[in-house]
Amino acid sequence: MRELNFVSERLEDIGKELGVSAYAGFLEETNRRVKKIVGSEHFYLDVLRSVSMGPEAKKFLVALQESVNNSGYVIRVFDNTQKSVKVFEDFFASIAIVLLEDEMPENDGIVARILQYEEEYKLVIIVNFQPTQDIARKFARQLGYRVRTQIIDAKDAIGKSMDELLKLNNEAIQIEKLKKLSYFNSIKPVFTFLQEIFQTENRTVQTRKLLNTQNTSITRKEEQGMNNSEFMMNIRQVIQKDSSDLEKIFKSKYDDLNKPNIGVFSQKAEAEVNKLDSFDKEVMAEKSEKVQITINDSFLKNFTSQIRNKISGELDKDELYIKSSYQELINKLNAQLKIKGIAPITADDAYAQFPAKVKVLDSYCYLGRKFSGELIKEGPSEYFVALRDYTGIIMVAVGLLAPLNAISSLDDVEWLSWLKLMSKGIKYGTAGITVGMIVYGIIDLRRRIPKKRIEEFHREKTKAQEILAQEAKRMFNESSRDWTGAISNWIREGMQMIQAQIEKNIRDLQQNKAQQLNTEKQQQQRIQQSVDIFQRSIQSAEKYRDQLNQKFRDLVAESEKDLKL
Amino acid sequence: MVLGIDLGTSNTVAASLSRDGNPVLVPDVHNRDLQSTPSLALIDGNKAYAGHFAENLFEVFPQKRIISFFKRYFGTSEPVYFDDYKNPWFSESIAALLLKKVQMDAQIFLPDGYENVVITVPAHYNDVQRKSVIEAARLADIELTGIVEEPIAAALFYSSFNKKIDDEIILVYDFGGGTFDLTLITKSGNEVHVIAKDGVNKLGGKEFDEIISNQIKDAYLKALGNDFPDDKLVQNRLQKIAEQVKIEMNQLEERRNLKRWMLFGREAFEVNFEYDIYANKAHQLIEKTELAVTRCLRSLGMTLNDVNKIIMIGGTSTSKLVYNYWKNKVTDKQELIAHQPLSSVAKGAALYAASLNGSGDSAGVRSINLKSVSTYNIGLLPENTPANKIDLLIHRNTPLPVSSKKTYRYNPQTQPVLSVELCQFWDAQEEVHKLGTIVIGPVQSFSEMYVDIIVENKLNGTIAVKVRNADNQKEMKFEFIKKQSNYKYDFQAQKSLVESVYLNHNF
Repeated sequence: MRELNFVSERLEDIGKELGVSAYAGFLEETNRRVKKIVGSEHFYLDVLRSVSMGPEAKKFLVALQESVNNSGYVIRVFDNTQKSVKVFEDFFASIAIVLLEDEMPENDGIVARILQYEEEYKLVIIVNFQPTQDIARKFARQLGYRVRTQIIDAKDAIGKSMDELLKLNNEAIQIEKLKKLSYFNSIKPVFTFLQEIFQTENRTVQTRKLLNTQNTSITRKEEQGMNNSEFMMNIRQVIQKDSSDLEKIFKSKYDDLNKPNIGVFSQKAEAEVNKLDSFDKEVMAEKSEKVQITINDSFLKNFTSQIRNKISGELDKDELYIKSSYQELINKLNAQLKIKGIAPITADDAYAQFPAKVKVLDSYCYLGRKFSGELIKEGPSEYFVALRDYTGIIMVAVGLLAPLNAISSLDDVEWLSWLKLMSKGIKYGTAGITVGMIVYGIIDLRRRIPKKRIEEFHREKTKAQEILAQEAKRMFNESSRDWTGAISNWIREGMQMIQAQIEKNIRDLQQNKAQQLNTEKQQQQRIQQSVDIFQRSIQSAEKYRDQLNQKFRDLVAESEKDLKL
Repeated sequence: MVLGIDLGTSNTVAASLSRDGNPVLVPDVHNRDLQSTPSLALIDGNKAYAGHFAENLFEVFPQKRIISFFKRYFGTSEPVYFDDYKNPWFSESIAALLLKKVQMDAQIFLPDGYENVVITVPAHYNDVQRKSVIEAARLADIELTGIVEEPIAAALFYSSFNKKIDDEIILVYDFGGGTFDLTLITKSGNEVHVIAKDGVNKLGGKEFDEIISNQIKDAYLKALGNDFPDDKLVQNRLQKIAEQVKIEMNQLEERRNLKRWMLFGREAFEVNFEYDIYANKAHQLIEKTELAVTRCLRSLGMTLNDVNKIIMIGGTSTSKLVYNYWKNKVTDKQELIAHQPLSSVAKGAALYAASLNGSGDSAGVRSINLKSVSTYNIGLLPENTPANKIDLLIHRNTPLPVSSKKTYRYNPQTQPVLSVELCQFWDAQEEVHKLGTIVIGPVQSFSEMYVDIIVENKLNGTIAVKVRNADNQKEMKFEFIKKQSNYKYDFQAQKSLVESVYLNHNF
């Protein structure tokens, strides 16, 4: 059907205009199929029959099929059960030939098919295999007013070729028109497609236009929002608050730990100091009655290590806490950065070297002062030393007894007789007193020496403990001071690094953003141009479509004008 | 001023009250002819589109998915969408985009602003789903005054202009885009009593769309011998065509087939939508609603004849098939009302919003005393219970608010924690919604103890749980663990997401 070549030509023009439309592939494929339809010269006809067709009708159909070979006619046979789906490129027959045998329920399927394609079937030829035309007329009435029907009795149809069959009631010119209408109907869906394509493309181009306007506005807004000084100020405040809170936490922690009596460090020191219960003893050459005492080395080692461990434990806890707090802060900041589209910071980028705990421990965990004392050597020395305590009593007793003994030695003095008498008593009593004193002295010494020994040990132990306590306190205090200082420095340094990292990320973002916004602006301009061009292309394509419509309508009108069936 | 929002599965409608107390719809800010917003969203980078505009974007962004029917995911812990940066978006966040869009419309339409905001929920929504709606409002920065069930809102609207319904039994038949609800109501003066509720989950316009889309897919296979393509552009186009054809089929006055050429990919084929096939399949869906109606009425010892009026609301109720189906079921004495089925819920919500806090007094809206009933049976299922026997605490259709308790034995020595699942269900043999697990303990006690779990079903349908020591009635701490998911819902993160996108910018 060469006179329809213009459809393909116009479709090509439309395809060129629409270019990269979402339907480019579809248009191309449709045009290929249009060419295929247009390139054909056959006349397609549908033969509709019942699935339980009788032998007479079967015979007629076989003869009809044989007659169309190389005749320019193509017949497609459908039974009442077939519900085919039409694909574009299928030929739409304008003539249906119904093989009507009897009044059967199957006929409903045939009627339904004709009604489904009532716009395409211009003529339905009913080949009546009944003796009368009653059933055929009844059948024809069901097809409605849009379809023209012709009833041909089977006896008139049998033995006729397709051409002869058609020409029984129709002139050749009318058949030629029906052939054309079949082609027009086959091409007609193209106009439905074009309608949908143009609707979609127009909608798309409007949407693209709106989107571009929106994007331009967003770009402008983002450009205005590129100044992040307020945001950075907020970030700084967050960082400063967190850093000072963190510093305060550690300062107050170590203040609490070092509080006298109730502080954990103080209690630890006391507990460790209280473990002291013996000394190492060493004989002194210059003081034969005394021994020199010192604290056992292993005790001191254990003491220092306990203090060190206690401090170390706290430092470990600090490291964990501080690192988790740091990570929390980073997460908090990253959440804010993410909203602004700023690259997140990582702990690795903003992490100063953590203060060396060992250095702190090594610097302060040692004993600066060592205890050294004396104790009286156990045994006779204790008695000799203890006897010193009786010196006064002995002197008084000796002082009293010596003059009386002297008097008792005077023989010739009369007036001293009473003294002599008394001195005799004293002479004999002195022995008793002396014995008594010696006994008392022995008993008293035996009672006092162990007590004195304990007192002396306690005195020395207290001295030693005081020294140890002072040393422990020094170790705790100095380590705490040094550590909190180190931590503060570290926190400050870390916070500065975070701040610097964020500032760098913001700068990077601003740089990238500025570049990106420039690119976006250029892209938006390009899109605007491209949308404008595309809109013009759609308008041009619509002109081609209108021309196509007009010409096609004229052709159809021309063919239908004098169609007399 | 007030704002009532009907957050529907397919369409969202907002309404307010005019100065004389008449409910009016809030139109789209850019097109006053558009009085409802399709419940759709599309996210592209840092831009989001909600409503009408998103509807047409699939042609511009063929690789993008239009997020629709997200309302069906309320109450689940699974994200409905992942954006370009792999951020998970939950149904609540998508709903928040829609609510923000509606809010923008309202801000422009209502010069005096609004104070009370009420959002409607389907009557059959369980506790978690209701809370999802509240969460969506929070994400959209909407200070919610309350939630009200859709059928009740529709009944309020209907009763606002029809005063003759007092002491009548009204069946509100809400067949929407994604859900079917039915509610039996009586009204006396300003008191609205809900007698019973029922419904069918996941039954609505979407299922009608599927009849059409399946026909298209079948035709594609028949015509071309290939399975229907599943790329996003084609799927979006299919969804849109199916909806259009469905609307057309639903509105047909006579038995008539529809023929449509379909353009997918490089192929074109003609589908003949046969009315009888569509009507037959649609009837099967409508029959499911009838089963629910019968079940609900039977639970009260009633039949359809006892109902005085049937108010039909929801998009699917506009179908002639649905209307005619019920027209054939009712007697001459019964009234079948299909008055403003698409907007009555939003308008009723606006009326309800005005009745709260007396803000509608100036507009002549009286306060409404709402007496509702529990939608579901509520029960507890202790861990390791043989045969999964649920301890029923609250029967469905019990007047709200209602609370009930169950005492459990707990020995901290033998079991570190006591885990009990909170469940809602219509029929324990069918679908049981497990809302979450109540975890009590561990506690510092060496002796066996008794624990009271108190469940309260509030007037707005949500559930509150308390745990007490049964011996001294002291409240005990417990954890409520919702259904586990691979993706954790985090309010702040979702709010940041919602706020980070430019929504319908400049449209």
